[in-house]
Amino acid sequence: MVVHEQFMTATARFADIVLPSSTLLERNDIIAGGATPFYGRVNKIIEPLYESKSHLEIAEMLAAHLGLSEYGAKTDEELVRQIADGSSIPDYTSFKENGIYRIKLKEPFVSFSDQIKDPANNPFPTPSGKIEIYSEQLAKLDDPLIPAIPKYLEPWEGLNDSLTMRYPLQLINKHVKRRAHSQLETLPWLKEVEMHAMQINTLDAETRNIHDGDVVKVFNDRGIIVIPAKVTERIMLGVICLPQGAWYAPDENGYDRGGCANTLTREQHSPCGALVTNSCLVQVEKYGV
Amino acid sequence: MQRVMYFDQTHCTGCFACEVACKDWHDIPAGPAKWIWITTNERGIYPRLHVSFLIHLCNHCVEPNCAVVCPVRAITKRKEDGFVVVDTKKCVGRNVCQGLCLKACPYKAPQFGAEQNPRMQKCHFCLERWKEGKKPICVASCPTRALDAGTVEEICKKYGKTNTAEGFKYSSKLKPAIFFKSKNYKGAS
Repeated sequence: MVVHEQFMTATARFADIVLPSSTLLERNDIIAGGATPFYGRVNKIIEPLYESKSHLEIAEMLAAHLGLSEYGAKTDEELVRQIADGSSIPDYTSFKENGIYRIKLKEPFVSFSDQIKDPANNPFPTPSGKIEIYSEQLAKLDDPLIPAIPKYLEPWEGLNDSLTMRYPLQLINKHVKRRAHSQLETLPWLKEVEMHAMQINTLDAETRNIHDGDVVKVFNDRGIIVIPAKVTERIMLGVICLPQGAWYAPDENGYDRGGCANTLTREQHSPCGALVTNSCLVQVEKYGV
Repeated sequence: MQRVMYFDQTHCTGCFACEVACKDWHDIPAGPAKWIWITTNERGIYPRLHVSFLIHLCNHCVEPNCAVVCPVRAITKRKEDGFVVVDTKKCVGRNVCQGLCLKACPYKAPQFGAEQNPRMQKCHFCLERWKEGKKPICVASCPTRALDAGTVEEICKKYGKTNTAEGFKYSSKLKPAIFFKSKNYKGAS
């Protein structure tokens, strides 16, 4: 297993080979906005530290080994310039200096504006030409898990699952303010503003003799997490929350001390392919008693 | 002149941007010393909840008790802007004086690092930024514009004279230089 990383992440821990990636401060790059129309210029500030290399350099070195000769003809600066020249950016020099080019739209972008203005001549790519709330195509699939009209489906590991006898608490993972998914998790300044903890309702905590700040064990058949508890009324009775994005860090017993919800969630997708990380039953008990 | 802080509790989302921006701007390492920090106040029973946040920092009191109790007069109140500042060269350290300034401050503003016999440090209202016509970094970093700063006259004209907020106790003896818009608990019904 080969991992290309800046940090020793949970994924990198499993790698046989880690290709050390440079950071965005160590390479020239260009980014394009999504909902906000702009181009951003990523300017290299310093040379890559230690043995780290840019994505491009790593790709070039691998390509050389694989005998792919078309790689390596251009520097990152030249490639960024080429992309910028092929875009709506009018002046590359000022783009590079300002770091950003905001695309000026004649009018605000509105999704499906053609269909709104003239629906008869601009059908949607569906059998009826309309947005289909009920879909004949899905009806033909005749799959009870992919209904033709949106409706509630009883989830696995839901409240009516017999597994609640052993694991009565539903686990959800919310986003927290102090990191973006798993990014920025290791920054000391951000770590100290908000302790990573499991949120549990006051009554659920009381019945388990858990007090705010106590270290608890959160577990099911898939894994065990050891983490401090945050006792609060800001979560519903019967539900606990492990904020998403924490880094898996098993101790010598295999207990995850990083508080990574993936330790407990099931690796199964919804019938339409979505990752289902909030359908997970667990139990909580005080740790070390 | 007295410059003051303004905190709109109804706008604060507890995002910690001010706290992190302050540490970044003033190069304060992660650890016990914080010049500004946020606490959360939760009330009510799920799902009828009330949550408010409160900033904590040096309130640059009109009558700073910390300056009075300091045995070496390391803390002074500046006439030109009312900022209460500490001379870390004069400060003899917490282990020597037992942290008298901290004991004298109901707002726990005097801060100490993790080092041996730490010298007192705290918010100085970003006094160097004012010279460039800029407001403190916490004010500049707040994404919801819950913070503002200016002279007493400016702030009171803009926002009124409310000097308490949920979780904050106004000391009539010290006269903290901070004004609020308070987010009030309206009961659990």
